[in-house]
Amino acid sequence: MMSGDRDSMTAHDELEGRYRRLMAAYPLRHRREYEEEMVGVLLAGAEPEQRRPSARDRADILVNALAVRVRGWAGDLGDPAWRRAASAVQVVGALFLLIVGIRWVLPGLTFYPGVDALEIARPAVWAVVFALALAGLRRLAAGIALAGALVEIAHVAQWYGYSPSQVLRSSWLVTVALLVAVCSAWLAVGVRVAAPRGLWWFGAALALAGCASVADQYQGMFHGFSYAVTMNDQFLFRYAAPLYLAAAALAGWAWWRQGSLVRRRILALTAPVAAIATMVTYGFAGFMYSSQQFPSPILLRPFQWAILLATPVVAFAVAVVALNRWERLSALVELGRRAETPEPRV
Amino acid sequence: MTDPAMREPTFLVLTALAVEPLHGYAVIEDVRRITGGRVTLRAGTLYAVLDRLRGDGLIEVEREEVVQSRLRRYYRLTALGERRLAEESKRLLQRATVADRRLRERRIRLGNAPA
Repeated sequence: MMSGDRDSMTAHDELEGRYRRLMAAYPLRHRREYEEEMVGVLLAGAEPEQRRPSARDRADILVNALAVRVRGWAGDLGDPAWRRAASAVQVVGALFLLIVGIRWVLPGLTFYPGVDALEIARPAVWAVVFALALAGLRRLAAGIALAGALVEIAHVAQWYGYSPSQVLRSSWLVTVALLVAVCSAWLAVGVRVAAPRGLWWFGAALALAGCASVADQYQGMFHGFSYAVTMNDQFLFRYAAPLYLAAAALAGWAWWRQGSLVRRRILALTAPVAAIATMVTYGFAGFMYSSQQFPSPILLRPFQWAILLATPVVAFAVAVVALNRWERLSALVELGRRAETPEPRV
Repeated sequence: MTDPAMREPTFLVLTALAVEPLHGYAVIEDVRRITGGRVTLRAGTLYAVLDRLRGDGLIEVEREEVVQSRLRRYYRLTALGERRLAEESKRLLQRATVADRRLRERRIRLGNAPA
């Protein structure tokens, strides 16, 4: 009898321990609110002597934990600060792509002789997205932004057969286009947000960066000027550098003006672009070098495509988790600080 | 704007809570009873539904008690929950009535032959 009781307790404890481990799949808020109740319900429905959760219970818990998490993220992404950040990324991103597209087709600045219809379509599409976003025609802006992203993909894809390295180098630009399309789709439904603050500053920064890029290229083409200041073949200074620095300062100022909540979310939204640029520069350096050494280029393998496609998604997920943790921690620190501050005497 | 159609577990949980406040395990048992054993809600599904319904203001916690060292929370319908359940019930009844009427018409047309 005593031995039976002990065995039954052990099975019960073991089962409870396993259920609690499964509960770790839920977000902390859900666990705090429901873990005790859920474990109680699960144990009440268990068979006597059951030691392991049934496959159905296990699957039910894991699937619903994922659903609760996704619902939490969706709720987070619906908050006004996220929407304002998405609006800034949409408008500034469209303007950036417009300037890149114009620069590409300007006479004397094209990298290749001749300009095709796709190259003309790029700036045209982004100009329309920019105008529609500012005019508040959200659904139309989302549709055209999707078309713009497809045009960017088609533009880059045409090089793949003979220069996969060029495709890799342009992957960050395609990511920007996809980001603008995603932000436009996100803003197409739900509460309307005002145009981002300090748009003129962003515009001035992009215009300056465009001028710097043109200056850079003309210096390189013009005889009598070197592309950069060098000494004993060592790179010292690029003439366009002050212009680029001024553009970065203006962009930084415009970003700073958004307020801390929106600022952090803009960083999270642009993390995929930074991640893909970093991945291509460091993760694919060997591939790009070797691909250029052979008369017929080496094409990307499926696992390399998988890495390229997963990088922006993973970067965004990591950025959102880091941002949420940072904000929760900051809120706790603030609460602690307030609790320690003595009440002012009246 | 009309509310979207309710999913079956949501409808069943609200139905279970329509008579009196119930705790989690009692909701599972009641749902099994009212569906004739066809639906057995599992804990993960039940608490996902309860959490969403609480968030939407359709149910609320009536009381908490500790039974055998375990927390037991009783949930009840709110006025909003009652209204939503009544709307959904009416919607389902209208559809069931149409389906029933058409089946009767079909049987008449086929000369009372079994479908």
